Amino acid sequence: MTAIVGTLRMAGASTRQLLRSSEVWTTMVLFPGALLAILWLFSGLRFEGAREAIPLMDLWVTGMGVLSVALGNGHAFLANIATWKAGGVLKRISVTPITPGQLIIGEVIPRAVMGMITILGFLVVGGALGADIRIGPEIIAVIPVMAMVTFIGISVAFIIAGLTRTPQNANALDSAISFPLYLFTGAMFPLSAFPGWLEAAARFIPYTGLIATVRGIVLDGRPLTDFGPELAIPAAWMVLLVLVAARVYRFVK
Amino acid sequence: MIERTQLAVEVRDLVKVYPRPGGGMLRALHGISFEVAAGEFFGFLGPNGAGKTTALEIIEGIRKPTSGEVRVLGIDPRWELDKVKRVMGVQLQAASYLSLLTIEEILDLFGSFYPKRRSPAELLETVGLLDKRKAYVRQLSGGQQRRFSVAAALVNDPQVIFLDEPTTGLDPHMRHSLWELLRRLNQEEGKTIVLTTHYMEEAELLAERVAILDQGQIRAIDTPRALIAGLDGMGHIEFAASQAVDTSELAGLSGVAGAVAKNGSNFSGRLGPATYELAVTEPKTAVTALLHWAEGSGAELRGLEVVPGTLEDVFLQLTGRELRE
Repeated sequence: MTAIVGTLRMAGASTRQLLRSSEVWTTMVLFPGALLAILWLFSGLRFEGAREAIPLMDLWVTGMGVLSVALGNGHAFLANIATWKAGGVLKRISVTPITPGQLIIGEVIPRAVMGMITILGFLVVGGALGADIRIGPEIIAVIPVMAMVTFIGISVAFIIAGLTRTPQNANALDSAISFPLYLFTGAMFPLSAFPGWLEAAARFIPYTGLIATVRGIVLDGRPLTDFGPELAIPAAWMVLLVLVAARVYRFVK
Repeated sequence: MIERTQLAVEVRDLVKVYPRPGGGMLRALHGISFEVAAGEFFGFLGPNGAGKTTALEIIEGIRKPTSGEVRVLGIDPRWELDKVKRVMGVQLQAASYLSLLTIEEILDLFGSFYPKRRSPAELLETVGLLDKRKAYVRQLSGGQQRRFSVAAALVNDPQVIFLDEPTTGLDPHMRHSLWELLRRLNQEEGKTIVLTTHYMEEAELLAERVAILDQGQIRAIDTPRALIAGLDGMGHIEFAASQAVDTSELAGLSGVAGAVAKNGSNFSGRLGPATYELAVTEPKTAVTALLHWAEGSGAELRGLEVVPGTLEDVFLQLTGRELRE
Protein backbone atom coordinates (compact mmCIF):
# COMPACT_ATOMS: atom_id res chain seq x y z
CA MET A 1 0.00 0.00 0.00
CA THR A 2 1.44 3.36 -0.93
CA ALA A 3 1.30 6.26 1.50
CA ILE A 4 -1.14 8.05 -0.80
CA VAL A 5 -3.54 5.12 -1.03
CA GLY A 6 -3.53 4.71 2.76
CA THR A 7 -4.16 8.42 3.26
CA LEU A 8 -7.02 8.42 0.77
CA ARG A 9 -8.51 5.37 2.45
CA MET A 10 -8.43 7.20 5.79
CA ALA A 11 -9.91 10.29 4.13
CA GLY A 12 -12.71 8.15 2.68
CA ALA A 13 -13.45 6.64 6.08
CA SER A 14 -13.41 10.08 7.72
CA THR A 15 -15.77 11.46 5.09
CA ARG A 16 -18.16 8.57 5.59
CA GLN A 17 -18.07 9.12 9.36
CA LEU A 18 -18.61 12.86 8.99
CA LEU A 19 -21.60 12.40 6.72
CA ARG A 20 -23.18 10.04 9.24
CA SER A 21 -22.59 12.31 12.20
CA SER A 22 -24.70 15.14 13.52
CA GLU A 23 -21.49 17.18 13.51
CA VAL A 24 -21.80 17.91 9.82
CA TRP A 25 -25.18 19.60 10.33
CA THR A 26 -24.03 21.45 13.42
CA THR A 27 -20.86 22.73 11.78
CA MET A 28 -22.22 23.43 8.32
CA VAL A 29 -25.81 24.48 8.92
CA LEU A 30 -26.93 25.08 12.50
CA PHE A 31 -24.01 27.05 13.90
CA PRO A 32 -23.35 29.24 10.82
CA GLY A 33 -27.09 29.77 10.42
CA ALA A 34 -27.52 30.88 14.03
CA LEU A 35 -24.44 33.11 13.80
CA LEU A 36 -25.71 34.77 10.63
CA ALA A 37 -29.11 35.34 12.20
CA ILE A 38 -27.45 37.05 15.17
CA LEU A 39 -25.18 39.14 12.93
CA TRP A 40 -28.17 40.22 10.88
CA LEU A 41 -29.62 41.86 14.01
CA PHE A 42 -26.64 44.24 13.88
CA SER A 43 -26.76 44.81 10.12
CA GLY A 44 -27.56 48.50 10.50
CA LEU A 45 -24.61 49.25 12.81
CA ARG A 46 -21.15 50.52 11.84
CA PHE A 47 -17.88 50.30 13.67
CA GLU A 48 -16.61 53.88 14.06
CA GLY A 49 -12.85 53.76 14.52
CA ALA A 50 -10.32 56.60 14.59
CA ARG A 51 -9.22 55.84 11.02
CA GLU A 52 -12.29 54.28 9.43
CA ALA A 53 -15.96 53.42 9.72
CA ILE A 54 -16.89 49.85 8.75
CA PRO A 55 -20.34 48.22 8.62
CA LEU A 56 -20.38 45.58 11.38
CA MET A 57 -22.05 43.13 9.01
CA ASP A 58 -19.07 43.29 6.63
CA LEU A 59 -16.60 42.99 9.47
CA TRP A 60 -18.27 40.13 11.23
CA VAL A 61 -19.45 38.04 8.28
CA THR A 62 -15.90 37.88 6.99
CA GLY A 63 -14.04 37.81 10.34
CA MET A 64 -16.27 35.73 12.53
CA GLY A 65 -17.25 33.54 9.60
CA VAL A 66 -13.66 32.52 8.94
CA LEU A 67 -12.76 32.11 12.58
CA SER A 68 -15.89 30.20 13.54
CA VAL A 69 -15.33 27.74 10.70
CA ALA A 70 -11.71 27.24 11.79
CA LEU A 71 -12.47 26.93 15.47
CA GLY A 72 -15.66 24.94 14.98
CA ASN A 73 -13.83 22.47 12.80
CA GLY A 74 -10.86 22.28 15.16
CA HIS A 75 -13.13 21.93 18.18
CA ALA A 76 -15.16 19.10 16.65
CA PHE A 77 -12.02 17.35 15.48
CA LEU A 78 -10.38 17.77 18.89
CA ALA A 79 -13.40 16.19 20.57
CA ASN A 80 -13.02 13.26 18.17
CA ILE A 81 -9.31 12.63 18.57
CA ALA A 82 -9.30 13.22 22.33
CA THR A 83 -12.03 10.57 22.58
CA TRP A 84 -10.20 8.28 20.17
CA LYS A 85 -7.07 8.59 22.24
CA ALA A 86 -8.80 7.96 25.57
CA GLY A 87 -10.85 5.10 24.12
CA GLY A 88 -7.96 3.30 22.44
CA VAL A 89 -8.98 3.89 18.79
CA LEU A 90 -5.61 5.46 18.02
CA LYS A 91 -3.73 2.70 19.77
CA ARG A 92 -5.56 0.18 17.62
CA ILE A 93 -4.72 2.14 14.47
CA SER A 94 -1.08 2.37 15.61
CA VAL A 95 -0.63 -1.40 15.18
CA THR A 96 -1.62 -1.13 11.53
CA PRO A 97 0.75 0.24 8.88
CA ILE A 98 -1.04 3.63 8.97
CA THR A 99 1.20 6.47 10.25
CA PRO A 100 0.11 9.49 12.34
CA GLY A 101 0.82 11.70 9.30
CA GLN A 102 -1.56 9.66 7.12
CA LEU A 103 -4.20 9.79 9.83
CA ILE A 104 -3.85 13.58 10.18
CA ILE A 105 -4.04 14.26 6.45
CA GLY A 106 -6.87 11.76 6.07
CA GLU A 107 -8.83 13.75 8.65
CA VAL A 108 -7.88 17.15 7.24
CA ILE A 109 -9.06 16.47 3.67
CA PRO A 110 -12.82 16.03 4.33
CA ARG A 111 -12.80 18.75 6.99
CA ALA A 112 -11.05 21.19 4.68
CA VAL A 113 -13.70 20.49 2.05
CA MET A 114 -16.43 20.93 4.65
CA GLY A 115 -14.80 24.20 5.82
CA MET A 116 -14.63 25.55 2.27
CA ILE A 117 -18.25 24.72 1.50
CA THR A 118 -19.33 26.23 4.82
CA ILE A 119 -17.44 29.49 4.38
CA LEU A 120 -18.62 29.89 0.79
CA GLY A 121 -22.21 29.35 1.94
CA PHE A 122 -21.66 31.72 4.87
CA LEU A 123 -20.35 34.48 2.62
CA VAL A 124 -23.13 34.04 0.06
CA VAL A 125 -25.89 34.10 2.69
CA GLY A 126 -24.11 36.94 4.53
CA GLY A 127 -24.11 38.88 1.27
CA ALA A 128 -27.81 38.22 0.82
CA LEU A 129 -28.43 39.51 4.37
CA GLY A 130 -26.73 42.81 3.72
CA ALA A 131 -22.96 42.36 3.90
CA ASP A 132 -21.13 43.94 0.98
CA ILE A 133 -19.71 40.63 -0.30
CA ARG A 134 -18.64 40.30 -3.93
CA ILE A 135 -20.26 37.12 -5.16
CA GLY A 136 -18.36 36.32 -8.31
CA PRO A 137 -15.54 34.20 -9.62
CA GLU A 138 -13.12 35.93 -7.19
CA ILE A 139 -14.75 34.11 -4.30
CA ILE A 140 -12.99 30.95 -5.50
CA ALA A 141 -9.73 32.53 -4.28
CA VAL A 142 -11.05 32.04 -0.74
CA ILE A 143 -10.75 28.25 -1.09
CA PRO A 144 -6.94 27.92 -0.61
CA VAL A 145 -7.14 30.36 2.30
CA MET A 146 -9.78 28.19 3.94
CA ALA A 147 -7.59 25.13 3.38
CA MET A 148 -4.88 26.91 5.41
CA VAL A 149 -7.45 27.88 8.04
CA THR A 150 -8.53 24.23 8.38
CA PHE A 151 -4.96 22.93 8.46
CA ILE A 152 -4.01 25.33 11.24
CA GLY A 153 -7.19 24.58 13.21
CA ILE A 154 -6.61 20.82 13.04
CA SER A 155 -2.89 21.08 13.84
CA VAL A 156 -3.77 23.09 16.95
CA ALA A 157 -6.31 20.39 17.83
CA PHE A 158 -3.61 17.70 17.52
CA ILE A 159 -1.26 19.71 19.75
CA ILE A 160 -3.95 20.21 22.39
CA ALA A 161 -4.80 16.50 22.27
CA GLY A 162 -1.09 15.70 22.59
CA LEU A 163 -0.59 17.97 25.59
CA THR A 164 -3.65 16.91 27.56
CA ARG A 165 -4.54 13.59 29.12
CA THR A 166 -8.34 13.61 29.06
CA PRO A 167 -11.03 14.87 26.68
CA GLN A 168 -12.21 17.23 29.46
CA ASN A 169 -8.77 18.86 29.81
CA ALA A 170 -8.51 19.11 26.03
CA ASN A 171 -11.87 20.88 25.89
CA ALA A 172 -10.90 23.32 28.65
CA LEU A 173 -7.60 24.23 26.96
CA ASP A 174 -9.31 24.60 23.60
CA SER A 175 -11.91 27.00 25.05
CA ALA A 176 -9.20 29.03 26.79
CA ILE A 177 -7.37 29.46 23.48
CA SER A 178 -10.46 30.12 21.34
CA PHE A 179 -12.05 33.05 23.11
CA PRO A 180 -9.11 35.53 22.86
CA LEU A 181 -8.82 34.71 19.17
CA TYR A 182 -12.18 36.38 18.47
CA LEU A 183 -10.89 39.55 20.15
CA PHE A 184 -7.34 39.76 18.88
CA THR A 185 -7.37 38.44 15.28
CA GLY A 186 -9.49 41.25 13.89
CA ALA A 187 -12.50 38.95 13.63
CA MET A 188 -14.74 41.21 15.75
CA PHE A 189 -12.92 44.56 15.70
CA PRO A 190 -10.64 46.01 13.01
CA LEU A 191 -6.94 45.83 13.83
CA SER A 192 -6.74 49.56 13.13
CA ALA A 193 -8.74 50.16 16.29
CA PHE A 194 -6.11 48.44 18.46
CA PRO A 195 -3.26 50.30 20.17
CA GLY A 196 -0.18 50.26 17.92
CA TRP A 197 1.76 47.65 19.88
CA LEU A 198 -1.27 45.33 20.04
CA GLU A 199 -1.97 45.73 16.34
CA ALA A 200 1.64 44.75 15.57
CA ALA A 201 1.48 41.76 17.93
CA ALA A 202 -1.91 40.64 16.59
CA ARG A 203 -0.47 40.28 13.08
CA PHE A 204 1.58 37.33 14.36
CA ILE A 205 -1.52 35.34 15.33
CA PRO A 206 -1.94 32.67 12.63
CA TYR A 207 -5.57 33.53 11.81
CA THR A 208 -5.09 37.33 11.56
CA GLY A 209 -3.54 37.33 8.09
CA LEU A 210 -6.03 34.75 6.84
CA ILE A 211 -9.00 36.85 7.95
CA ALA A 212 -7.44 39.95 6.36
CA THR A 213 -6.96 38.02 3.11
CA VAL A 214 -10.55 36.78 2.98
CA ARG A 215 -11.75 40.33 3.66
CA GLY A 216 -9.53 41.75 0.95
CA ILE A 217 -10.80 39.20 -1.58
CA VAL A 218 -14.52 39.34 -0.89
CA LEU A 219 -14.97 42.94 0.25
CA ASP A 220 -12.42 44.77 -1.91
CA GLY A 221 -12.15 42.33 -4.81
CA ARG A 222 -8.35 42.17 -4.61
CA PRO A 223 -6.56 39.13 -6.05
CA LEU A 224 -4.99 36.52 -3.80
CA THR A 225 -1.53 37.48 -5.03
CA ASP A 226 -1.86 40.82 -3.23
CA PHE A 227 -1.66 39.09 0.11
CA GLY A 228 1.86 37.66 0.19
CA PRO A 229 2.88 39.33 3.46
CA GLU A 230 -0.47 38.53 5.14
CA LEU A 231 -0.23 34.87 4.14
CA ALA A 232 3.48 34.46 4.96
CA ILE A 233 2.92 34.49 8.71
CA PRO A 234 0.10 31.87 8.70
CA ALA A 235 2.11 29.76 6.25
CA ALA A 236 5.07 29.78 8.64
CA TRP A 237 2.69 28.96 11.50
CA MET A 238 1.23 26.10 9.50
CA VAL A 239 4.65 24.47 9.05
CA LEU A 240 5.58 25.06 12.68
CA LEU A 241 2.26 23.76 14.02
CA VAL A 242 2.42 20.59 11.91
CA LEU A 243 5.96 19.91 13.16
CA VAL A 244 4.96 20.53 16.77
CA ALA A 245 1.80 18.42 16.33
CA ALA A 246 3.85 15.52 14.95
CA ARG A 247 6.25 15.86 17.91
CA VAL A 248 3.80 16.16 20.80
CA TYR A 249 1.06 13.90 19.48
CA ARG A 250 1.32 10.24 20.27
CA PHE A 251 -0.99 7.43 19.23
CA VAL A 252 -0.62 5.81 22.63
CA LYS A 253 -1.24 7.41 26.05
CA MET B 1 2.32 -21.85 6.27
CA ILE B 2 5.58 -21.45 8.17
CA GLU B 3 7.86 -24.19 9.47
CA ARG B 4 7.34 -25.30 13.04
CA THR B 5 11.10 -25.25 13.61
CA GLN B 6 11.23 -21.53 12.86
CA LEU B 7 11.03 -19.06 15.75
CA ALA B 8 8.00 -16.78 15.62
CA VAL B 9 8.95 -14.67 18.64
CA GLU B 10 12.30 -14.25 20.37
CA VAL B 11 12.66 -12.10 23.47
CA ARG B 12 16.01 -11.59 25.21
CA ASP B 13 16.61 -9.84 28.54
CA LEU B 14 13.66 -7.51 28.09
CA VAL B 15 13.60 -4.68 30.62
CA LYS B 16 11.01 -1.94 30.88
CA VAL B 17 11.21 0.87 33.40
CA TYR B 18 8.50 3.52 33.67
CA PRO B 19 8.79 6.81 35.54
CA ARG B 20 6.26 6.88 38.36
CA PRO B 21 3.86 9.86 38.33
CA GLY B 22 4.92 10.84 41.86
CA GLY B 23 8.64 10.40 41.19
CA GLY B 24 10.90 7.37 41.18
CA MET B 25 10.87 4.51 38.72
CA LEU B 26 8.69 1.44 38.27
CA ARG B 27 10.42 -1.62 36.92
CA ALA B 28 7.66 -3.35 34.96
CA LEU B 29 9.86 -6.03 33.37
CA HIS B 30 13.02 -7.42 34.93
CA GLY B 31 14.90 -8.84 31.96
CA ILE B 32 12.55 -11.55 30.71
CA SER B 33 13.60 -13.99 27.97
CA PHE B 34 11.58 -16.58 26.05
CA GLU B 35 10.97 -17.96 22.59
CA VAL B 36 7.81 -19.00 20.77
CA ALA B 37 8.06 -21.48 17.91
CA ALA B 38 6.17 -20.87 14.68
CA GLY B 39 2.75 -22.53 14.91
CA GLU B 40 2.86 -22.72 18.70
CA PHE B 41 0.06 -21.59 21.02
CA PHE B 42 1.88 -19.78 23.80
CA GLY B 43 0.28 -18.40 26.96
CA PHE B 44 1.35 -15.69 29.38
CA LEU B 45 -0.29 -16.35 32.71
CA GLY B 46 -0.15 -13.87 35.53
CA PRO B 47 -2.22 -11.56 37.73
CA ASN B 48 -3.07 -7.97 36.82
CA GLY B 49 0.04 -5.81 36.96
CA ALA B 50 2.39 -8.73 36.34
CA GLY B 51 3.79 -7.11 33.17
CA LYS B 52 1.95 -9.24 30.58
CA THR B 53 0.53 -6.32 28.60
CA THR B 54 3.79 -4.37 28.78
CA ALA B 55 5.70 -7.35 27.40
CA LEU B 56 3.17 -7.88 24.63
CA GLU B 57 3.05 -4.21 23.66
CA ILE B 58 6.84 -4.07 23.39
CA ILE B 59 6.79 -7.10 21.11
CA GLU B 60 4.04 -5.46 19.03
CA GLY B 61 6.14 -2.29 18.74
CA ILE B 62 3.64 -0.10 20.60
CA ARG B 63 6.12 0.57 23.42
CA LYS B 64 9.88 0.84 23.40
CA PRO B 65 11.90 -1.39 25.72
CA THR B 66 14.34 0.15 28.18
CA SER B 67 16.76 -2.59 27.13
CA GLY B 68 16.70 -6.05 25.63
CA GLU B 69 15.93 -7.51 22.25
CA VAL B 70 12.78 -8.59 20.47
CA ARG B 71 12.32 -10.35 17.14
CA VAL B 72 9.07 -11.30 15.44
CA LEU B 73 9.70 -13.85 12.67
CA GLY B 74 13.31 -12.66 12.79
CA ILE B 75 12.38 -8.97 12.39
CA ASP B 76 13.28 -6.38 15.03
CA PRO B 77 10.24 -4.13 15.62
CA ARG B 78 12.47 -1.27 16.76
CA TRP B 79 14.02 -0.92 13.31
CA GLU B 80 11.53 -2.54 10.96
CA LEU B 81 8.18 -1.96 12.58
CA ASP B 82 6.37 -1.71 9.26
CA LYS B 83 7.51 -5.20 8.31
CA VAL B 84 6.40 -6.56 11.69
CA LYS B 85 3.02 -4.88 11.34
CA ARG B 86 2.46 -6.69 8.06
CA VAL B 87 2.97 -10.18 9.54
CA MET B 88 1.30 -9.79 12.93
CA GLY B 89 -2.29 -9.51 14.07
CA VAL B 90 -3.06 -7.69 17.29
CA GLN B 91 -6.02 -7.78 19.62
CA LEU B 92 -5.52 -5.18 22.33
CA GLN B 93 -6.84 -5.56 25.85
CA ALA B 94 -8.85 -2.32 25.56
CA ALA B 95 -9.48 -0.89 22.14
CA SER B 96 -12.27 0.95 20.41
CA TYR B 97 -12.98 1.35 16.74
CA LEU B 98 -14.24 4.14 14.53
CA SER B 99 -17.72 4.63 15.90
CA LEU B 100 -19.63 5.55 12.74
CA LEU B 101 -18.35 2.78 10.51
CA THR B 102 -20.07 -0.60 10.43
CA ILE B 103 -18.00 -3.60 11.46
CA GLU B 104 -17.80 -4.69 7.84
CA GLU B 105 -16.50 -1.24 6.82
CA ILE B 106 -13.92 -1.25 9.62
CA LEU B 107 -12.57 -4.62 8.48
CA ASP B 108 -12.52 -3.40 4.89
CA LEU B 109 -10.67 -0.22 5.91
CA PHE B 110 -8.14 -2.03 8.11
CA GLY B 111 -7.61 -4.70 5.47
CA SER B 112 -6.87 -2.02 2.87
CA PHE B 113 -3.77 -0.99 4.86
CA TYR B 114 -2.07 -4.33 4.12
CA PRO B 115 -0.73 -5.90 0.94
CA LYS B 116 -2.30 -9.23 1.93
CA ARG B 117 -5.86 -9.25 3.25
CA ARG B 118 -8.86 -11.42 4.02
CA SER B 119 -12.34 -10.40 2.97
CA PRO B 120 -14.55 -8.85 5.67
CA ALA B 121 -17.33 -11.36 4.94
CA GLU B 122 -14.96 -14.30 5.44
CA LEU B 123 -13.66 -12.84 8.71
CA LEU B 124 -17.13 -12.12 10.03
CA GLU B 125 -18.18 -15.62 9.08
CA THR B 126 -15.17 -17.02 10.96
CA VAL B 127 -16.13 -15.24 14.18
CA GLY B 128 -19.88 -15.82 13.73
CA LEU B 129 -20.82 -12.19 13.15
CA LEU B 130 -21.80 -12.20 9.49
CA ASP B 131 -25.41 -11.35 10.30
CA LYS B 132 -24.19 -8.29 12.23
CA ARG B 133 -22.08 -6.91 9.41
CA LYS B 134 -24.13 -3.70 9.12
CA ALA B 135 -23.96 -3.00 12.86
CA TYR B 136 -21.74 -0.44 14.56
CA VAL B 137 -19.33 -1.77 17.20
CA ARG B 138 -21.35 -0.13 19.99
CA GLN B 139 -24.41 -2.12 18.92
CA LEU B 140 -22.63 -5.44 19.61
CA SER B 141 -22.72 -7.23 22.95
CA GLY B 142 -19.51 -7.52 24.99
CA GLY B 143 -18.84 -11.00 23.69
CA GLN B 144 -19.51 -9.99 20.11
CA GLN B 145 -17.15 -7.03 20.48
CA ARG B 146 -14.39 -9.38 21.67
CA ARG B 147 -15.00 -11.67 18.73
CA PHE B 148 -14.97 -8.69 16.40
CA SER B 149 -11.62 -7.55 17.81
CA VAL B 150 -10.25 -11.03 17.05
CA ALA B 151 -11.60 -10.70 13.49
CA ALA B 152 -9.90 -7.30 13.21
CA ALA B 153 -6.64 -8.95 14.28
CA LEU B 154 -6.95 -11.34 11.33
CA VAL B 155 -7.55 -8.81 8.52
CA ASN B 156 -4.04 -9.20 7.12
CA ASP B 157 -4.06 -13.00 7.44
CA PRO B 158 -1.18 -12.70 9.95
CA GLN B 159 1.37 -15.38 10.71
CA VAL B 160 1.58 -14.40 14.37
CA ILE B 161 -1.42 -13.31 16.44
CA PHE B 162 -1.09 -11.47 19.76
CA LEU B 163 -4.15 -11.57 22.00
CA ASP B 164 -4.23 -9.58 25.22
CA GLU B 165 -6.75 -11.10 27.64
CA PRO B 166 -9.24 -11.85 24.86
CA THR B 167 -11.88 -13.45 27.07
CA THR B 168 -11.82 -11.15 30.10
CA GLY B 169 -15.33 -10.20 31.10
CA LEU B 170 -17.03 -12.78 28.91
CA ASP B 171 -19.60 -15.23 30.19
CA PRO B 172 -18.58 -18.92 30.17
CA HIS B 173 -20.50 -19.67 26.97
CA MET B 174 -18.86 -16.82 25.06
CA ARG B 175 -15.49 -17.76 26.49
CA HIS B 176 -15.82 -21.33 25.26
CA SER B 177 -16.89 -20.21 21.82
CA LEU B 178 -13.87 -17.90 21.56
CA TRP B 179 -11.59 -20.70 22.77
CA GLU B 180 -12.91 -22.89 19.95
CA LEU B 181 -12.17 -20.17 17.43
CA LEU B 182 -8.61 -19.69 18.72
CA ARG B 183 -7.96 -23.42 18.74
CA ARG B 184 -9.16 -23.62 15.15
CA LEU B 185 -6.90 -20.75 14.07
CA ASN B 186 -3.95 -22.46 15.68
CA GLN B 187 -4.59 -26.07 14.75
CA GLU B 188 -6.28 -25.77 11.36
CA GLU B 189 -4.70 -22.60 9.99
CA GLY B 190 -1.30 -23.01 11.68
CA LYS B 191 -1.28 -19.52 13.20
CA THR B 192 1.20 -18.80 15.96
CA ILE B 193 -0.77 -17.42 18.88
CA VAL B 194 0.62 -15.56 21.87
CA LEU B 195 -2.08 -14.96 24.44
CA THR B 196 -2.07 -13.30 27.84
CA THR B 197 -4.59 -14.30 30.44
CA HIS B 198 -5.22 -14.40 34.13
CA TYR B 199 -7.57 -17.35 33.73
CA MET B 200 -5.57 -20.44 34.55
CA GLU B 201 -8.11 -22.74 32.90
CA GLU B 202 -7.73 -20.76 29.68
CA ALA B 203 -3.95 -21.12 29.70
CA GLU B 204 -4.24 -24.77 30.63
CA LEU B 205 -6.76 -25.60 27.90
CA LEU B 206 -5.33 -23.60 25.03
CA ALA B 207 -1.61 -23.09 25.45
CA GLU B 208 1.00 -25.65 24.48
CA ARG B 209 3.46 -23.79 26.71
CA VAL B 210 2.83 -21.28 29.45
CA ALA B 211 5.08 -18.63 30.95
CA ILE B 212 4.08 -17.68 34.47
CA LEU B 213 4.76 -14.00 34.89
CA ASP B 214 4.74 -12.25 38.23
CA GLN B 215 6.04 -8.80 39.16
CA GLY B 216 7.82 -8.46 35.85
CA GLN B 217 9.64 -11.76 36.05
CA ILE B 218 9.07 -15.14 34.42
CA ARG B 219 8.81 -17.56 37.33
CA ALA B 220 8.42 -20.68 35.21
CA ILE B 221 7.96 -21.62 31.60
CA ASP B 222 6.88 -25.04 30.32
CA THR B 223 3.89 -27.05 29.15
CA PRO B 224 0.94 -26.86 31.57
CA ARG B 225 1.28 -30.60 32.18
CA ALA B 226 4.97 -30.30 33.08
CA LEU B 227 4.35 -27.31 35.33
CA ILE B 228 1.60 -29.15 37.19
CA ALA B 229 3.67 -32.32 37.40
CA GLY B 230 6.41 -30.27 39.02
CA LEU B 231 4.15 -29.31 41.92
CA ASP B 232 5.21 -30.45 45.37
CA GLY B 233 1.57 -31.10 46.20
CA MET B 234 0.13 -33.11 43.35
CA GLY B 235 -3.43 -32.09 43.97
CA HIS B 236 -6.23 -31.64 46.44
CA ILE B 237 -8.78 -33.66 48.33
CA GLU B 238 -11.99 -31.87 49.15
CA PHE B 239 -14.73 -33.13 51.46
CA ALA B 240 -17.37 -32.04 53.94
CA ALA B 241 -17.35 -33.51 57.43
CA SER B 242 -20.33 -34.26 59.64
CA GLN B 243 -18.51 -32.74 62.59
CA ALA B 244 -15.87 -30.07 63.11
CA VAL B 245 -12.35 -31.30 62.57
CA ASP B 246 -9.00 -30.01 63.76
CA THR B 247 -7.03 -29.27 60.58
CA SER B 248 -3.74 -29.99 62.31
CA GLU B 249 -4.88 -33.62 62.62
CA LEU B 250 -5.62 -33.71 58.89
CA ALA B 251 -2.33 -32.04 58.01
CA GLY B 252 -0.51 -34.77 59.89
CA LEU B 253 -1.93 -37.59 57.78
CA SER B 254 0.36 -39.51 55.50
CA GLY B 255 0.56 -37.99 51.97
CA VAL B 256 -1.00 -34.71 53.10
CA ALA B 257 1.01 -31.48 52.85
CA GLY B 258 -1.52 -29.12 54.39
CA ALA B 259 -5.14 -28.73 55.37
CA VAL B 260 -7.55 -25.82 55.47
CA ALA B 261 -11.16 -25.42 56.50
CA LYS B 262 -13.19 -23.60 53.88
CA ASN B 263 -16.60 -21.88 53.85
CA GLY B 264 -15.06 -18.65 55.11
CA SER B 265 -13.85 -20.16 58.38
CA ASN B 266 -10.24 -19.35 59.13
CA PHE B 267 -10.23 -22.42 61.30
CA SER B 268 -9.02 -21.89 64.76
CA GLY B 269 -10.28 -25.12 66.21
CA ARG B 270 -13.75 -26.55 66.40
CA LEU B 271 -16.05 -24.04 64.72
CA GLY B 272 -18.67 -26.50 63.53
CA PRO B 273 -19.23 -28.44 60.27
CA ALA B 274 -17.26 -27.16 57.30
CA THR B 275 -15.71 -28.31 54.08
CA TYR B 276 -12.03 -29.07 54.06
CA GLU B 277 -9.32 -29.00 51.47
CA LEU B 278 -6.16 -31.01 51.78
CA ALA B 279 -3.11 -30.31 49.66
CA VAL B 280 -1.73 -33.76 48.89
CA THR B 281 1.60 -34.96 47.61
CA GLU B 282 0.49 -38.57 47.15
CA PRO B 283 -3.25 -38.73 46.49
CA LYS B 284 -3.61 -42.50 46.89
CA THR B 285 -1.78 -42.63 50.23
CA ALA B 286 -3.61 -39.55 51.44
CA VAL B 287 -7.08 -40.95 50.61
CA THR B 288 -6.29 -44.20 52.41
CA ALA B 289 -4.97 -42.32 55.43
CA LEU B 290 -8.00 -40.02 55.46
CA LEU B 291 -10.47 -42.92 55.36
CA HIS B 292 -8.64 -44.64 58.20
CA TRP B 293 -8.66 -41.46 60.22
CA ALA B 294 -12.40 -40.95 59.59
CA GLU B 295 -13.17 -44.47 60.70
CA GLY B 296 -11.15 -44.03 63.86
CA SER B 297 -12.52 -40.60 64.75
CA GLY B 298 -16.14 -41.38 63.87
CA ALA B 299 -16.32 -38.47 61.40
CA GLU B 300 -18.55 -39.01 58.41
CA LEU B 301 -17.01 -37.71 55.17
CA ARG B 302 -19.36 -36.40 52.47
CA GLY B 303 -18.69 -35.53 48.83
CA LEU B 304 -15.10 -36.66 48.95
CA GLU B 305 -13.35 -35.60 45.77
CA VAL B 306 -9.76 -35.87 44.55
CA VAL B 307 -8.90 -32.80 42.45
CA PRO B 308 -5.73 -32.81 40.36
CA GLY B 309 -3.29 -29.88 40.63
CA THR B 310 -3.81 -26.82 38.44
CA LEU B 311 -1.78 -23.92 37.18
CA GLU B 312 -3.35 -21.95 40.01
CA ASP B 313 -1.45 -24.22 42.40
CA VAL B 314 1.70 -23.77 40.36
CA PHE B 315 1.33 -20.00 40.65
CA LEU B 316 0.65 -20.27 44.38
CA GLN B 317 3.70 -22.44 44.88
CA LEU B 318 5.95 -20.18 42.82
CA THR B 319 4.84 -16.85 44.26
CA GLY B 320 3.16 -17.65 47.56
CA ARG B 321 0.09 -15.76 46.35
CA GLU B 322 -3.22 -16.58 44.68
CA LEU B 323 -3.44 -15.79 40.96
CA ARG B 324 -6.39 -13.46 41.46
CA GLU B 325 -5.32 -11.70 44.63
